[in-house]
Amino acid sequence: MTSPTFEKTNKTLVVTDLVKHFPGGRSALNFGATKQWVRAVDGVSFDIAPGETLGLVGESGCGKSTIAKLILRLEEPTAGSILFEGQEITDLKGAQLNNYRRSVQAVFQDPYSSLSPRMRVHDIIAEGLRIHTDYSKSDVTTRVNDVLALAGLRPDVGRLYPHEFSGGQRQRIAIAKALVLDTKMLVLDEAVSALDVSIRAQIITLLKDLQQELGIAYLYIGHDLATVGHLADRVMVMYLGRVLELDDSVDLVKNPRHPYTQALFAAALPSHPEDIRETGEQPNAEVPTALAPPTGCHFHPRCPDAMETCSVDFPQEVTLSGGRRISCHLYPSGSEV
Amino acid sequence: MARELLRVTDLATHYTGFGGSRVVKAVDGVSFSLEEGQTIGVVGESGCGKTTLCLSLVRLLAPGAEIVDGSIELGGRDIMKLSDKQMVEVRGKEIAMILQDPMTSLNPVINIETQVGEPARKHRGLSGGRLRERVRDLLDSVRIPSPEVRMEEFPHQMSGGMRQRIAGAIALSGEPRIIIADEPTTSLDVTIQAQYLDLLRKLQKETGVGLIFVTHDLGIVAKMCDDVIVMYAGKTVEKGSVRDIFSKPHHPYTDALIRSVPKLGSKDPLYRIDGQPPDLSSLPVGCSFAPRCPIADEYCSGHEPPLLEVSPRRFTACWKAEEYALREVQP
Repeated sequence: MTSPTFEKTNKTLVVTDLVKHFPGGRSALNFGATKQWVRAVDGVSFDIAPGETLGLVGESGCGKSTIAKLILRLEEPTAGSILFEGQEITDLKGAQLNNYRRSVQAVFQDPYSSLSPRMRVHDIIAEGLRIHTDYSKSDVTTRVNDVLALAGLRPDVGRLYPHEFSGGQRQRIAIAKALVLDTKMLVLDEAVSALDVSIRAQIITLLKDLQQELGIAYLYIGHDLATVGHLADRVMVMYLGRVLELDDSVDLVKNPRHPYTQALFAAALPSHPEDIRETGEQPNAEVPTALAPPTGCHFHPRCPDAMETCSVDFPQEVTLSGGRRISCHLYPSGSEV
Repeated sequence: MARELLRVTDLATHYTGFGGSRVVKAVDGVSFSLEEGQTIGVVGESGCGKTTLCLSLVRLLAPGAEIVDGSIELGGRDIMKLSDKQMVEVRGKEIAMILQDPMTSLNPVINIETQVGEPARKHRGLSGGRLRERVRDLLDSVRIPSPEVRMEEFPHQMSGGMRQRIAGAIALSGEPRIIIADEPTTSLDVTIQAQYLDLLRKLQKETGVGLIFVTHDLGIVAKMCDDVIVMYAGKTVEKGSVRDIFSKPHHPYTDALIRSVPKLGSKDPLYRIDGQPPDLSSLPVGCSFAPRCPIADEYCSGHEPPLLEVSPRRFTACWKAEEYALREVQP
């Protein structure tokens, strides 16, 4: 089953074969040695429709934050294409790039460091309007008050400074700031993980309500599987720069097929003492470094189902019936229905 | 019945500032006991006093904080009456602590062997080859690969998961009977977290150590703990076995906490508690949760509810607990 928005063909974002390699090798002493590359993102493709949320999960170092930075054009891709509403954005410059930035905004994890402590809330939110529009002072105030209301804050908080707010309210300010222009897509990088349980539920509900009201596309990056599964329509699982599995979030949680996805879900904490799963089959080793990823399928050294071929070739991605994308030798090409 | 390791009675720890004009009641009348091999979870949101509770148990409070009431009995003796010198003998030897952030709780300029060996050397009198052997065994028991090599290294050469396991090895080194773990897995990836929790449970089975788990994550409580103490604004609002409390919370706050956490595979709207936890220096009169409580009435905001045993070994501090416990619960 797919969400209704997924069936539309006019996607907000289409990412194809995206690659980002960083120069690596920590030793400052090996001048002249062959340059090593960290393959942070290594051929990733996905799309997001208007009003849809794509969840992105994976362990530290899997490249999820690099993808966020590439989409926000805070990093330049090594190769690949990012189409935003049909327009290639990887080579935008100057005024066109500015224009793109009106439409795509981000909300980060830590609302204590993402808001300038020296600016009043009104000025923080109005900054985008000052840069991108020629609104009059009263228009700016009207718009700022509108988005404050959208984010569930009273208009009179505009004169206060960020330190006068709690974590949850700060995150509301960050959301208001992200919505002040004609935002079409939000990149939410762990946007609720730093918040307390009760406050987290408030912000998750706010994000869902806003999406319904404004039809914005979300890319939600997180490590908490339950939260990602709750917010996202589809979930993409990444490991060391590559996509291993992608499907509708309910289907994926119910029936994870890739051994890595299965391991991730088995490691998730139970919501009741009675549904404790045995986590005995946890992959024991730690995540290898992206500087020297294992040959073949990057997951094979930790994989309980690894076969001989897994250490040699990276598995071709196949699309199974129902639209699940998976890269695993257990599902060889030709097994698609 | 297992041996009782720790009994905390009516513990109150307050922070005093501005010459005594401002008192923050971070912990205000908390009682519990811990038995051999038992795991108790302490849950609550930021600022509910859970970390202050831990620090009180080992008497490592910051200046300005003071235990103003109550007793902490460790194996029958009141540690409040011990001198600072005697306390040094308690920390690490009887009660050890694992702190939240393995990136900052290890000393960056001392190698792993010395750090892991310190409690064993100080408290158990090991030295030389036997100490080295003990360190190797400890690293081995927390599954550090090639311990011989790793013990010569420094914290920056390890990943986050390894550092947290080393913090665990340090806690075990003095063979304590109680380990307090303050949010020990918040900074770890889910797979590493699962491994670490399984490891702690295995070590507990082997050594019979009593565990106190301080966390804001109800999933950890569900997975790890036998009993749970739910704290709100410095007080215990509900206490009892994890199974009972997760199956049917009797306090509206506990209920709200459990229902506001997304569940894997469920798209049901989350329950939302409006408002913020209160400021501990100016608590409302009456029940501290009343301003956010869906069932509070005038009586609640005027009178503070006592913590009562509503059924055997199950305590709730709510005027409406009985009525609330009778509600229909959707499966």
